[in-house]
Amino acid sequence: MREDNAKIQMRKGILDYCILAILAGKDSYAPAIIAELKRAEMIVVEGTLYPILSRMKNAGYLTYRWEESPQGPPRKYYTLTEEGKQYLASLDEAWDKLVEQINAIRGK
Amino acid sequence: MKETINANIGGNAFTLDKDAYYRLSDYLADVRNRVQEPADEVMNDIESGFADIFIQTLSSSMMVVTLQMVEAAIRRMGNPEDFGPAKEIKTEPKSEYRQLRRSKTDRSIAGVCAGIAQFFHFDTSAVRLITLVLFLFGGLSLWVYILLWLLIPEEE
Repeated sequence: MREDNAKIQMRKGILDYCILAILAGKDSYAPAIIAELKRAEMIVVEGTLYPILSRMKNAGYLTYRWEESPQGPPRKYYTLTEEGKQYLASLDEAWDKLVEQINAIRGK
Repeated sequence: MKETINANIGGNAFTLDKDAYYRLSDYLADVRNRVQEPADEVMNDIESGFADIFIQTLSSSMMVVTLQMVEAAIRRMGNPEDFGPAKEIKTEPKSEYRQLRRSKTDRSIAGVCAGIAQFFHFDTSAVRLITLVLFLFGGLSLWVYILLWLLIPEEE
């Protein structure tokens, strides 16, 4: 399964946005976020998510709490901070604008 | 029958087959070499991720994590390359599965001393010198060397 570099770069670019959008819906932990992304056919590997979550947490967009899980180790539940919500709103705007621009270029 | 190793993965105790253990620890070392700071935090998350996957796969805590399970979990977690380029040129993996072998490249007689030195991470010259001194003054029989020559297989 070979994919064009451009497509991969595009997806990488919007991955942060997607994760924030998922967390805006409800607090979640890594494997559940993966499942959500996979459902939307966004990423295929779990590992790449951890660095992103940790980076956004350190940027102040996310925070987490530990929650016991029915089986296995406690889970890190991530939630959006106020700053994260604002950042997401700005990304929403940027996205809408981008779609508009692309459509304008494609002549729709 | 296989040897197993106990390990703490993301705060959980697991028993792994030896080959599974080395595969996983090499993988984690490779990934650590690629992730951005804060590496410790990300590695803890990744380890917990593995623990989660293993717990889901094991039907009881008495079961052993096999190489197949580790391979499947790694496929889920992603190739080390997915985490970015390696920061430094990789030296030998730390947890390399060491075996006592007579060295083929580094030998004075049959590579016994170099083999022993490699296995214990000693200096080859030091091992040779000590051996020589023991031959001359320590009463070490030459037969011991010949016996080791015969017993220790040559490296591939």
